[in-house]
Amino acid sequence: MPIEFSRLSFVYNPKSPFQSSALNDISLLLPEKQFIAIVGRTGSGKSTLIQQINALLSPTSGYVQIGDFINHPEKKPKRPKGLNDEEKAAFKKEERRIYQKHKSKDIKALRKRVGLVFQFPEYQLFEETVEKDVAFGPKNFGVKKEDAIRSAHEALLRVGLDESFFQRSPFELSGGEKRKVAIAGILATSPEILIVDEPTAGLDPAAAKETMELFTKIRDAGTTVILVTHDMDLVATYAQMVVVMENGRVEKTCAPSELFGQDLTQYSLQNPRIFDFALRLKQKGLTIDTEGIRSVNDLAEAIIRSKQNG
Amino acid sequence: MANFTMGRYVPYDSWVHRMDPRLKIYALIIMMVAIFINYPTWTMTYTILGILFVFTLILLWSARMKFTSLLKSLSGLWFMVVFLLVIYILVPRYSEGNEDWYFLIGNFKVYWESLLEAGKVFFRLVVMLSLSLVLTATTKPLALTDGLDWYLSPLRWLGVPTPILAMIISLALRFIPTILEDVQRILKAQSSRGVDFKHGHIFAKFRAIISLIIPLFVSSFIRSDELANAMECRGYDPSTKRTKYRKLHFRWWDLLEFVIVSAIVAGCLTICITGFDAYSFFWGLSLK
Ligand SMILES: Nc1ncnc2c1ncn2[C@@H]1O[C@H](COP(=O)(O)OP(=O)(O)OP(=O)(O)O)[C@@H](O)[C@H]1O
Ligand SMILES: [Mg+2]
Repeated sequence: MPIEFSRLSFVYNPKSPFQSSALNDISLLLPEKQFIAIVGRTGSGKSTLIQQINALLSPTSGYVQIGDFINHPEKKPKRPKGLNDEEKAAFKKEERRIYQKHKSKDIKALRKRVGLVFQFPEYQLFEETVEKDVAFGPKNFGVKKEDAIRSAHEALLRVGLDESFFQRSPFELSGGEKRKVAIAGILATSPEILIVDEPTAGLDPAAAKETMELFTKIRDAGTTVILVTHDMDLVATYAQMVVVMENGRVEKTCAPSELFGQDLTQYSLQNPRIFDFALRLKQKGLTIDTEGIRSVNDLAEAIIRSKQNG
Repeated sequence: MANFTMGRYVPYDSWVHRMDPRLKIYALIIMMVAIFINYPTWTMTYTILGILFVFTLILLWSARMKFTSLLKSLSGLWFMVVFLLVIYILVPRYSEGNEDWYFLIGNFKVYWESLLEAGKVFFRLVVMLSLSLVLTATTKPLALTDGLDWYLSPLRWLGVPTPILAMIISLALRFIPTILEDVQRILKAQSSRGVDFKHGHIFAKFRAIISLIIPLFVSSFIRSDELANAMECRGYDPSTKRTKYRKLHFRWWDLLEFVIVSAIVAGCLTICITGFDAYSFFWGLSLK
């Protein structure tokens, strides 16, 4: 399922003194079955953007289409004045296409297909045991109890929590373990699109790496993975496409390698460390091709190549 | 999703906002008295409540609040209306001389006076709620606590730990928006796990509420624990006297407002005590 944003804007608390505009005229196509990273400084609107995909927030204007589901504003816009008949008809047709009423089961179906793991998801745990908490999602989506428990076990093993965790209370776990349980809670519903907001914040490097590798595996199995992060090293290593957000707008959509080497400080971002290292080597006189360096391996190969040539 | 903005401070700048919080609390309390005492006749009751309501609307308008926000906050009252009507219709009330003042539904007598009584209760609630709304929307929670603290301070002589009480109240007020944010966040997190908070049969609703309440409690406990630690680390000691960053000042316009509010309520009290009926006094009307 591709995701298509069309001229989407979003305002928090409209028409009140607390009004704040979080997304501005966003048009964006996110292809399916890719590993997509969304980056940008704090407060640039990343979390707001991904909540539109799950219909947790509805746009103030514009719309986002996920498969055949269109998340549209609650109110229809007024028809602009001075249209001729043909344009009026086109406007009507477009309006009829976009503003279809959603039943609660349509929204539920959407949320089954789009799994969203929030920033700090550990606050959503509530069942007595880890196993039950993870099975909570699938059960809500109408899976039978035994099957839900089975997929819960699978999901827990995938995030690296073994049998000894199944019967423990989620409140006795460490922060990182809670995070893993929360991620498993979404994996257990086997979504077609998996959205994760800062999943590695607060995890130790090994656990962070495992988690990212898990997401890659999930992508390989045909799921779209959308990752919100500040960590350009992760973007360099795992993402196939990167969306840079700034001030509620999409500043750039490109392949990660295209992004590196530009001045990223204007977005409060940094080049991946490995890329910076390569640049430094080049500055100091090593003739290497820094294009497309994303990992230690790439760098090693580039150095070997330059040695062989020179 | 649900709108939780009701009762929240709205940062505008108006003379209502600038009023001394102590005066606002005083005004609210004595106006409540004026709202809830009994007036000689129902015509007088409705007239006085009407005047008080208009007064409230003037406050609302001066505070630059929208009338629609008031309507929204009051819209939850429809349940009360139905409830009141049912109770007052089932329990007939009429005073002497008014026994025949009724209409029939089927062959059940509905006394007009019952309906008037129900209307009175409803009207009182509306005026009271609008007044409280003006108070909470125009006063910073901290200013409100400072005001309360001032009223509580005489209790110190009785050994009541008023600074601690004030601290508790101000922390509670301080955490209302935070907890509402938590509610929103948990609502969203559970919704994305397929919980439907709006639809579904009663058992599903119950499950949905549980999935909200438990994480809410847990995060509130964690938060209060962390807060207590942070306060202690920064040397908070409940038993010592605290100085204030903002001092409350009573200014001349506060005095003016004090006189106006007191005069209005004094007028209401006089009418109540003397049983003065303006309608029969001025126009010689005697309504039932
Ligand atoms: N519930 C809310 N009510 C009002 N404004 C909000 C709310 N949530 C976010 N905002 C505002 O919307 C803007 C975008 O916020 P958002 O949470 O999408 O940023 P973000 O890119 O996810 O930041 P971070 O990297 O810190 O998570 C910010 O300016 C923020 O202040
Ligand atoms: Mg965020």
